[in-house]
Amino acid sequence: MAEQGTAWILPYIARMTEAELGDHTQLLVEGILDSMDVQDLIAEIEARHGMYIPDLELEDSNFETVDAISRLVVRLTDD
Amino acid sequence: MIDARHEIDARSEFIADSVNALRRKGVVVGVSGGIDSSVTLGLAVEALGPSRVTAIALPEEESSRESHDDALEVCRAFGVELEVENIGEALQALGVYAERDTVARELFGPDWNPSWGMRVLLKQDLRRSRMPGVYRVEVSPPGEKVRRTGLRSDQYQRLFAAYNHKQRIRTAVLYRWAEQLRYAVLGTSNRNETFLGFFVRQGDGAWDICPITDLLKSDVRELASELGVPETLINKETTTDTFPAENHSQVEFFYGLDFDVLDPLMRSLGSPTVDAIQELAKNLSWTEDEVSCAIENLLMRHEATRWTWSDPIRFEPDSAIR
Repeated sequence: MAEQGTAWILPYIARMTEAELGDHTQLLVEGILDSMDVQDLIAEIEARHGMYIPDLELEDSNFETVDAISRLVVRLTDD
Repeated sequence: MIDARHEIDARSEFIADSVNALRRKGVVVGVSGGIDSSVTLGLAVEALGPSRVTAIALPEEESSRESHDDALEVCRAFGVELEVENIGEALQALGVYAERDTVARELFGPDWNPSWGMRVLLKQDLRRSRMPGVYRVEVSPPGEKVRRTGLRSDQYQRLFAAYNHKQRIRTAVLYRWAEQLRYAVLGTSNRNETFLGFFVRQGDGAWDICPITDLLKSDVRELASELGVPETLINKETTTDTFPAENHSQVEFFYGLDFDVLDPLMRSLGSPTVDAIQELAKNLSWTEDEVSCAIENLLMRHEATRWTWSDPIRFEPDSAIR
């Protein structure tokens, strides 16, 4: 059963860092997520939501903040 | 453009001098059928003559037949006999294929089998995005559409830790031959690989002498033509020949850009001046922002692979805390 909401994303990322985290914290620019963190995050999104994120969506604007990630997940889920 | 003949003369002299300095009698070269090992073999023959060069192919269960044929062809072209050591049993004993099967079944279910192939792809838009690269895996079950999935970092690490045995076992076999013959091992890594960390530490990154570490792929191709490497090898796509997939190109597996784009960018990494960026943008028909983005991404990859390419760290008495 695919997960519906995106509320899990912030606490999931918070486990990867000691930095103070909010919906609009810059995850890539501030180096909060490294390449392996991003690898895990994408695998987690795909597993929880039963989707495959298309290659064209693997860009920084979709992963720069928790808010951006949530919007991506909602958009892909709606599609 | 480089002066290929001048480069060949300088590099073959370098090989001969280095072999003497190491008090060895010749060289061992692992040949894959690819252009880098072909050029290295050609340089070795120019330096020492074919009788002091031993070429070894090291195939395994997932190697393509075409690679073997290409290795044979280049050895014939340079008058060197090809020795073949199949490392498949060693990899089997080390659990390489078993780990592949475990990860593949986690990703694609219990029905996965090696005949489905496995293509590992690093997805990163180096030109337009500062998003880190993301590994994806594709398989092709017979009679079905291609299946794609992502993989977690622990799955990626298990898969690559196992697969990197391939390069490390190859190096171990090359050193056995080298010791038997009192030869040195020649490395075949080019500048694209050494700068971006596209090799295996203590695997294909371990050697005694390497004549092409400063050459980009396009330079290697120029040397190949001058040396007489068969045209089919010069023009064929550069493949990994590592995972169980046909024509698994290095561009889709790692680089993300064709070499005719990557090499001009890499030439400018040391001094990305405004003028250089403008000229690159013009030559590639990119915007200046895209050139800057790609250069930044390449420098980030270099930094991200520091563990792979850095020298071993030795204790230095002067740096000790007293």
